[in-house]
Amino acid sequence: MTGVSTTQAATAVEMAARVRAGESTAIELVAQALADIAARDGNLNSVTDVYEDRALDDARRVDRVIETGADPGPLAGVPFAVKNLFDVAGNRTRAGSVIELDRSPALTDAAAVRRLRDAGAVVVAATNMDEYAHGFTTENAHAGTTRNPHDLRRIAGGSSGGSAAAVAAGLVPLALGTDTNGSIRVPASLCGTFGLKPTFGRVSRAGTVLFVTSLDHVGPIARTAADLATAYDALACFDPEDPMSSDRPVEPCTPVLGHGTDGLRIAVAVGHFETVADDTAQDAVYRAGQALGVERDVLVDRSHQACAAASVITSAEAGQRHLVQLRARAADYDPAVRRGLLAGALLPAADYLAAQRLRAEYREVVRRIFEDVDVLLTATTPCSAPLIGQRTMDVGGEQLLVGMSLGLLAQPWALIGLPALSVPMTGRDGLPIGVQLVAAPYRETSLFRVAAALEEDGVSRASREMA
Amino acid sequence: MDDGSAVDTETVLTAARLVGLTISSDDLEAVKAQLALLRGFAAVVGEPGPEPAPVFQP
Repeated sequence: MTGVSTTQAATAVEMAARVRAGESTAIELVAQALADIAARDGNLNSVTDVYEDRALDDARRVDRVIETGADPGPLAGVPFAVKNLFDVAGNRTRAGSVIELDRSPALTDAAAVRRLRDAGAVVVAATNMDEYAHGFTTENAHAGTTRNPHDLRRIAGGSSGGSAAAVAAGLVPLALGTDTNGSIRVPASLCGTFGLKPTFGRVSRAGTVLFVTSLDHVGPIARTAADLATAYDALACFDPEDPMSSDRPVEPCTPVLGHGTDGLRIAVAVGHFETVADDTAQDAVYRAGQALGVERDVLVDRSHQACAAASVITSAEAGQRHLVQLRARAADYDPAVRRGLLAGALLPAADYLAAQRLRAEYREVVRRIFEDVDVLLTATTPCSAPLIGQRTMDVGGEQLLVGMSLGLLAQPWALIGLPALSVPMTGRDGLPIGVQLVAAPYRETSLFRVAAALEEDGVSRASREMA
Repeated sequence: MDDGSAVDTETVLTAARLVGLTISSDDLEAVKAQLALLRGFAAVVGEPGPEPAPVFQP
């Protein structure tokens, strides 16, 4: 690759350090990111909206803070992108839909955008997604398909596929996504980035277009563990504007990055988590486990039922959320999304309640496991990135539907609100594949200690190669 | 459609009317298939257990 820009070459932490030291300016970094998007996003289709005027204004504001001798924050001048379901003041929030474009522009920033801005970061663009976050492929009927930077013939994953692709391609060092059944972790895995779904309630969802109220999480995507931790530390807070927000004190993760894994009890999750992982995915978990000295396997009972329950709850809640709009504007939906929402709206209440009961039972199964385990390892996705338009994927000799199955290893943890972090590995097939780290609620620090150790050992690394 | 294995047209159209939805002929077969899939998932979840504790709360 030629002409590597500042944005591509540097991490968010490095960029902010240079800005704070006066070696670079926020306006330079933001202008470079805007230029990169204009020059290189054409093939990827990761970006749907560019906020050029606002970004340049925000960058000047950061530079003025520097000039006064004040500290603009740990992400000073760092350009970032957001999945296009986050409110950005003055702009229409798409949520991957044409229906949303009929609404008024957002009056204020989403809470997560505001938190990153308060840490000195500058929002430069919004990114492509599955319509209303309903999908795992970012094949959007209105905005087109986002392509994987590592192989343009392949999907980026979804539904936060634009955010992961933009980060993997080096257009921005940091992006925000949302994760209902794996929508941060799946594209992070397929695009070769780090991605964090924090504990439910740890990062505010205020100012986002929700998909499934009881399952939606906001989280960051980045190319290094340190960038991811810095973003998470800026994002995590109690927010009364989100009824599900936790008032538990936040434990910062950047201070623990160098602590290593001594004393952490790490195990590989087996059973369901092996059954729906192909050889490449299982090999990545094996290599991560070897590097960490893991000698223990743990069977997580009922995980296949947890996936089924997550699908039922997702469909029922999403169908109900869209009921009024489906009556009035059904024709304006992506047909595949419309059909899924319609089916969800017709599900019997008995099915939904049975799924909620399973959810409570599964939480108890996993709670007992975390009494003597700190971090579980699994693959993040059943396989590496499928081809665009591919309908099924071969996993262990079984043909699984791509659109339904890419989240099978991520769903169980979202169902019960646990923190899960996908670290990037390179698969035997040469494509990125993620290894997922899972911990008990509010134990993000344990995840970051393991992620940083794998990165330090060279086992996990986000590739910056661009197709 | 109690066993979650098949969903017929009449059931889908009746359920849709119940909640004020219209299913177009273009969508009908796909909605039936999707609903059958979801009812299959519900069957995997199994029989209801004890009364649910609240889902995980922050």
